[in-house]
Amino acid sequence: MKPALLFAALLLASCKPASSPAVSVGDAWARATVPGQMGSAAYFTIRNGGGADKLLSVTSPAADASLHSSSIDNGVMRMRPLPALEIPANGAVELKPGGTHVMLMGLKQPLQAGTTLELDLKFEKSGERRVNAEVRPASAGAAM
Amino acid sequence: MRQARLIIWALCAVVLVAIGVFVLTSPRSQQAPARMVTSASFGGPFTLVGADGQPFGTQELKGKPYVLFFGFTHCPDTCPTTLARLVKLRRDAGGDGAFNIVFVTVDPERDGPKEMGTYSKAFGAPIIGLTGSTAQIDSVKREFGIFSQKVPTGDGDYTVDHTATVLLFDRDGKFVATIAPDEQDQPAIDKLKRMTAA
Repeated sequence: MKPALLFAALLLASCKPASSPAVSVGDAWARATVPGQMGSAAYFTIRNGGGADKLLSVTSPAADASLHSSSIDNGVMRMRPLPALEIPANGAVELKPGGTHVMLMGLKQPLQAGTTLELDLKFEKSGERRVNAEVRPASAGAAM
Repeated sequence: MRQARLIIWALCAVVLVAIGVFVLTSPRSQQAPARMVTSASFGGPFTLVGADGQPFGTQELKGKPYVLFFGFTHCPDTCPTTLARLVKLRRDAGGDGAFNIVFVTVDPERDGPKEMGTYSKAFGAPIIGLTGSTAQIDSVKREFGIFSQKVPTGDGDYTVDHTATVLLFDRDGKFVATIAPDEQDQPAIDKLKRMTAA
């Protein structure tokens, strides 16, 4: 009986590293549209103080939103859709200009600096999170 | 038997000599130096279309250094990021008047003079937006070694993969350096300062 109890305790203990994620989303912003443009991009940082998770999708009532990555391959910028974004345990993932971003297409109205854009994030384990991204001027986000 | 072996050896020797002669005299090894890009041969004069719909030629850029960046206005991430960065780097390297920023579209189908004009005004500092016919854009891309390729997004729309390297030219239009998209600010500023000093 005792070894069985010990085994159960060990089993429980081994479950601990696969703890539930503790995800928070911050620094969310979107680039204001240039007059005549109906596309833009949004960025944010996901911090995770728990187990690994996965960002499955980002949607917005204001536009067709989708996860994309920009990458530089031999001087050529290539942008591709990302099916999902892995969020490592006890880590952070930064979406930023020139890298992973939320591509916004078909905006229902232009994004004006100083307003906010609603983004709905869907995580595999943490469920849904709503974020209000601050709209910054087109000249923002010069850092790559 | 011994004779046969001798013949094989002789044949081997002939083949080896032939390979040697071929390698040494092949057109490839002779042409290699000529294919190197030199500042004198890179780029070249071009005529495109300005935001006012009028022809815009290289001669209008003479007398002031300029940086050349290719992109498209429907580009949600890299192009606005790079243009905003160039505006900031120009301020760090000497001010808005230190050199011209020239933005050439690789998507002339969607980017007419009007689109280029509006887009170029959105970064809080002067940017020269240029477009042209597909033939004109193709010719400029060839001259400057710019790659671009349409990538369908599935909904009938498309994005464009393109060279995101920024090309630097001095006041005489001579190619001086490049800034890679993932290059740090300080080396980029140093290059821009050298360009304006040249």
